[in-house]
Amino acid sequence: MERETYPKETYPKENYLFTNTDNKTNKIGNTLMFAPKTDEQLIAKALKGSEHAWLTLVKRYEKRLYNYALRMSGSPDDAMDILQNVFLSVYRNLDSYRGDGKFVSWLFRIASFRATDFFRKKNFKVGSIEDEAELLDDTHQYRPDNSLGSSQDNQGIMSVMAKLSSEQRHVVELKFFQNFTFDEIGGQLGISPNTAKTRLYTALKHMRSEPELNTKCAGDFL
Amino acid sequence: MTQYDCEQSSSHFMELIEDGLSILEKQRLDQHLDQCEDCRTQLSELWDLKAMSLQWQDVPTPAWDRKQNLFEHRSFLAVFQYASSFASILVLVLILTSAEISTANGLSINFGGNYVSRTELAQRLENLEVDQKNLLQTSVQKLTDQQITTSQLLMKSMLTASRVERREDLYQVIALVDEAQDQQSQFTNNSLKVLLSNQLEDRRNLNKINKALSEGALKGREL
Repeated sequence: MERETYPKETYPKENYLFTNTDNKTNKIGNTLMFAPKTDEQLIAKALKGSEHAWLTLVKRYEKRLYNYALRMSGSPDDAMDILQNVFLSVYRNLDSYRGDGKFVSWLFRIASFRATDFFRKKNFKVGSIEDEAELLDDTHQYRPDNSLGSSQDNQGIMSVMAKLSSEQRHVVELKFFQNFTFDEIGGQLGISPNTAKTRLYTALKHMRSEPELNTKCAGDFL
Repeated sequence: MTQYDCEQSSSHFMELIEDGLSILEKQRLDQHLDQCEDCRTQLSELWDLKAMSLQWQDVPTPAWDRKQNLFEHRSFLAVFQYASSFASILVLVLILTSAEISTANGLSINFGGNYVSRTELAQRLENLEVDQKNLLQTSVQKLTDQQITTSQLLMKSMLTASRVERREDLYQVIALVDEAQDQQSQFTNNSLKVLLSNQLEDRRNLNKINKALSEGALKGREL
């Protein structure tokens, strides 16, 4: 099964009812289409109190953010909490979004803050998810119809991520799963791009020192 | 072509993985990797991480409250949702306490108060009707009297004003007539004076003529 990826400047396909070549005017030729609105248009409408615009924005990014939170926390319950906190913060700070950068980058900056807060409150430590069976069970609670193979892949990835520190996990997540540049990651985490790179290579060293992780990475996924 | 060192190589690893390296940079990187075991290992681990990320199967988001009560505005109309309950309780309390509400206009509402028979109610209504009629007649009479008095006063004042105006006009006419009479008298007096002076002159002339005639007659007789 081909993995569904979210390139930096595109949105999930299910949100596109019609293809659109002009995001500014929503026009193809002279014909006005009911094309999806840009993030900025939705934000402007949501700021004016449009519930529909807000829900459209949430639906556009909730799956991506939920999977982000799931990999970061290793628990569907925690992921749901993080997801709700992130969107709550986004809504409360929506008027401070100036549109000078990509919305998705701003969104993940908030997500990083909220995830860090969440881990701090829960006293989340490196390798705190010791019981991998727990991970598997939790995942299965939400995916009863899932095939064992794909669930095992996700469970393996979550167990690898859980062994990393919060800082390393953030960098690995944003670099490999969200495909941000080091500059963007630095901006989101409030660090320099070089520090982001250093954290990534530190994460690699950590994985190298953990034979179990090394086996999982190299063996299970290749 | 100069080879990359380890630091330069590692700075290009992510670009290599993301397929963002030029052919020349890739050749230089390959040359370094052929000779450096550490960099090969590091790059291999990065590829492993990339492979791991591609294995992730997106989990659908569980159902959740996307609005999170963010759009629940307290409307002023929401206050009225308790209005019916409040009114019901109020009426119940008034009935239980047999409350009586009276106004200055005579309106009286009894909640579960004394029972009034239909006959008594009819009698009360009849009395009330008679009272109302009397009150109305008295009011009409009072208003009529007031209107008559007002009209009389108005007529009187108008007559007085008219009389004063007529008197003033008469005085003016008398004054004009007096003035005209004065002018006429003066003219007559002047005319009489002129006439008298003319008569005197005539008499003097006649006397002169008589005297002259007398003198002539005497002279004639003498002659």
